Amino acid sequence: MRSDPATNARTRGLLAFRVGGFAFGARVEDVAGLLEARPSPIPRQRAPLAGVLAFRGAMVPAFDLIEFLELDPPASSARYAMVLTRGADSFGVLVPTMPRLIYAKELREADLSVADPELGALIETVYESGGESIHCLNYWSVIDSILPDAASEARAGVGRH
Amino acid sequence: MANKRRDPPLVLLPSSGSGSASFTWSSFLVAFCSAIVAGIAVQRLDGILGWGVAGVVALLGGAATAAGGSGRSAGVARARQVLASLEGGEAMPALERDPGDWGALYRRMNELSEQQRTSASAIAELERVRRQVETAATLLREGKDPLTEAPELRVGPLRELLEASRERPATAVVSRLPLGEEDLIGLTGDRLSETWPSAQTEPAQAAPVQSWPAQAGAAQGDPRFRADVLHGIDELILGLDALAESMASQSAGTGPDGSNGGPRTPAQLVDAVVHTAADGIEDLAAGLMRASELASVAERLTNRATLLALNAALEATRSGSEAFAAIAEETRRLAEFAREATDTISRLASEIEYKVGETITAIHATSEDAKSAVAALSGGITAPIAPPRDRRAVDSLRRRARSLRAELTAAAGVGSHPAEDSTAGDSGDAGDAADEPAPMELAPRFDAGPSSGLSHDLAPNPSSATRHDEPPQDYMHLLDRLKPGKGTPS
Repeated sequence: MRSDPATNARTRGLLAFRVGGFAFGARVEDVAGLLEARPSPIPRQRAPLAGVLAFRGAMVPAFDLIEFLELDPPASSARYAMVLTRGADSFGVLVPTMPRLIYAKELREADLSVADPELGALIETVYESGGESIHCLNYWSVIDSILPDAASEARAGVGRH
Repeated sequence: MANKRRDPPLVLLPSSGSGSASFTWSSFLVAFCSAIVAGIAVQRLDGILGWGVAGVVALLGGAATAAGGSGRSAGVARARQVLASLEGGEAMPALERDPGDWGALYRRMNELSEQQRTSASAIAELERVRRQVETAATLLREGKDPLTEAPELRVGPLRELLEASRERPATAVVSRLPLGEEDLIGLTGDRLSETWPSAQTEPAQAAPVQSWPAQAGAAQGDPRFRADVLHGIDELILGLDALAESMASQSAGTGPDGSNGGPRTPAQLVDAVVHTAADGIEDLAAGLMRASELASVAERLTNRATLLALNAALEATRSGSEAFAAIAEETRRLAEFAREATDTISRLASEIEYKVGETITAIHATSEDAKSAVAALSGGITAPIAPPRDRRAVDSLRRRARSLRAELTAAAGVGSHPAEDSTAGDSGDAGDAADEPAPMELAPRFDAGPSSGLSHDLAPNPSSATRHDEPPQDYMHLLDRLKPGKGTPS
């Protein structure tokens, strides 16, 4: 019988990628899919919002992680979009390199103290694989900071008027 | 040619001695003065004294005049001695060594006398040769052998020529002469002598010794001979036309068939080869660029395959299905294989493109080096194969051949165009087809060797053996018929 690796690392695997010298990752349970990033711009778009993506018949917003972290852009213009989903909400994270899949058996959950202090409160979990620390960000809070809730936005608009 | 040496003018300079014109005037002056002094003495001195002084003066004047006359008489006598010596051929060594005017006069007169004797000898020799030529021409017109009939010709300057002509009668005499045939016979043959001993070396025809006019008349009546001559001239004209066209094509840089295959200089050949190679390699480079584009497409496909494999693995991991995981694994392997292949193709394309670029650069550099080397070797000369002098010679031969044919046609009243008359043996003038003569041997000769000549080019003999056995009267026939007002066939 196959053992459940999620019981050891609280995940079945990790999609890892490198941005600006940091190793980031996302749990496979949160990832709905990968695709080549060709976002379409939207009106009144502001960085780090990159536009919207068509994913499996739905339109999801996407933001550029490099711009969000204010890192130097890579030489290559190729970008991949990692679509994260939670319930009915989905959004995309643009990464400069194609992520690689790291299975749970290769992961070990580390303490948050080993995380890079520059990333601060953005980090949700830190994993170690092959002597490398992989930071799992709290992408939901990031997208919430970029895209405020429509209801709160509407309320703020009414209050101003 | 006579020696036109200019003789120095014979001038008798005034001499310090006797015998000159000034001496005559001085004698006259002395006598005149003596007479005046004698008259004055008679008038002024009376008596015997006057007459005595007059007599003495008269005696002195007479003595002076006598002295002048005796000097002139001595000069005249010496001149008479010189003339007698020149006329008699007697040498006067003393006078010849005289440094004065009489010595110079004597030596000059001797030179003139020698020149006169030399000129007279040359004129006599020329007169003798002229008489021999006239004798030989007369005997030739009569159909006789000059060496047999005229013994004086056996020792003259014409002996070698006459013997050579008698031993080899088939060879044209004109070809062995230092002059060109145009100088000898003219363009129409009007300078040609009339006869040649045809039967001297021809045993079969020895019995009736036939003179040249008789043979000409017999040949003129032969339509086959006329057709043969026309046929030969037509072939000669066609050959010259082809040769001239070939030369013109070569000079224009095109082949005889009009294609652009004419001769080119080595520098042009090198340039053409290098350009051909460079064009081929540039085409190859363009193909490699298209291959690189295809490699880029393959790379995009590989990326999508990799992405697909990653998505499959992601789903398999999320679902925990082993079957899905197996499919995802195979998809990943396929994507890896595609990536490796794409990387290999891209690397090879890059390497080939780089090497082609290097080769194109090297070829262009080699082209410049080769052109410089060829230019240095050939001195930059781009000479055509056929020089203009040869083309002019061929054109001159063509004009002469056409002129000859036109005059022959006008005289014979047959044929119109070389191309039409190239089969003159089939025409009515040629007579029966069964009697049609064999084709002529008409290889054009452009050398000036002893065996060359129009007699060979135009001889209508089917074989060289019979041609050498025959006298050159066929050429004579042809030229005789070209003479104005003579030999027009019936």
